[in-house]
Amino acid sequence: MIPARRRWLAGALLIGVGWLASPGAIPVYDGIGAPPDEPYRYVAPPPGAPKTAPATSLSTKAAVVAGANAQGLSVQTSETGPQMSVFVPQGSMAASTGPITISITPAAPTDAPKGARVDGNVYVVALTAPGGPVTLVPAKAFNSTMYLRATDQRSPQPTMFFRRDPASSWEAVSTSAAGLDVRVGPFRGAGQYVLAWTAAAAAKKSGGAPVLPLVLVGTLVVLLAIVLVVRLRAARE
Amino acid sequence: MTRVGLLLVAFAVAVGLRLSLGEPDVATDIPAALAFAVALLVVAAAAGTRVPLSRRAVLIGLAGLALVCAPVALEHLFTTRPVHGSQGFAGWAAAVVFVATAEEVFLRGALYDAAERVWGPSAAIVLGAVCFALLHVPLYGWHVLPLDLAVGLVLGGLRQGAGTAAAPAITHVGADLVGWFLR
Repeated sequence: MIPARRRWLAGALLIGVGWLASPGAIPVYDGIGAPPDEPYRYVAPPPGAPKTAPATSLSTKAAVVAGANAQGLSVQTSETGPQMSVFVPQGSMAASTGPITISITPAAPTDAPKGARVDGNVYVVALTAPGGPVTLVPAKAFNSTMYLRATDQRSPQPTMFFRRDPASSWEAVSTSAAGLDVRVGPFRGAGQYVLAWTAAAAAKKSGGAPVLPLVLVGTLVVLLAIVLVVRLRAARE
Repeated sequence: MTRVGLLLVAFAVAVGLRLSLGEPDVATDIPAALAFAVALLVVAAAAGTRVPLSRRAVLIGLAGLALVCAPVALEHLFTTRPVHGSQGFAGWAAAVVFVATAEEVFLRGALYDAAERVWGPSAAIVLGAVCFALLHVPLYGWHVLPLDLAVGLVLGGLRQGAGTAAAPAITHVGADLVGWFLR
């Protein structure tokens, strides 16, 4: 019999390894039932999208001390769940005088990253200060993060793209999962952020590979194999 | 067919029922989840499953809850990911409590009891964990498999330690409810 303390430690190890091995922080481990998120609020709804309240904007100010934001900021839009949220640590935004104003506005996509299909709204981030431009401080801003909610929870999930202004080209940013339908990437400062599927992911999403039937067949095979083993064992005994 | 085999077939049928009712978005479909839960409870009741509740089971269940919630809680602590509000929570929570309880009564109740009788507790824990993990793949994708397998093993361990499925049920229900806020 394994002592209780060792069992709990083994349990903690299992959970930790499982958590690390599962890319995408699913809600604890099981989002049973319904997703609590309200339908995605589009600025320009596609045909067939449910009628919703307008997508929300936000604007907040950060005090400046010694040339940088005095406190870390974590802000999010008001949908359930938030369609956009951003985290910037203390000292990561530089401005000669404060306060720094962070404004985030949803907009209808006017174009898509090359070879990709846009998912949801474009989020336009503006950073302004009375004393001139606001810049990111790389040494402090390396763990600033931007979260965008996808329009649904189905896999594959889209990738985050960023551009400084509408004249620039979209560039994909390193994206990972932060929930069933929440994508997280680095906060690059002022500019435009959007989620989009690359061509391969879009093809997969639109039914390229029959994932569900494969899963069902695989599950049945496993279950039948278990039953077979049980019967063979019973026959031997 | 053995009792374990019958229960596995019944489980596969219940999962199939949920998948077919819940198309195209199974993970979001409450009626499909409730039908699945009712199917599991009916089979568990037919198998004569009992889930006694004791003070020890409650304490083990709460300790398990702290264990499985630790990673997501720590992640929120260090990344300031948004915490969701409580709008719409009550209705969702009622469905989640029912479905999570049904899963535990079946997997860590009926199936565990049957498998333990044949192969012992370790195999019963593994079998329940495999079923638990596979159950969630069609809902959320293959990427959930490692975590759900790990959590399934822990829930099985709680069942063995407490001597009743009430402990993993408390952990499972609690973790799902916490998941609303920390998702």
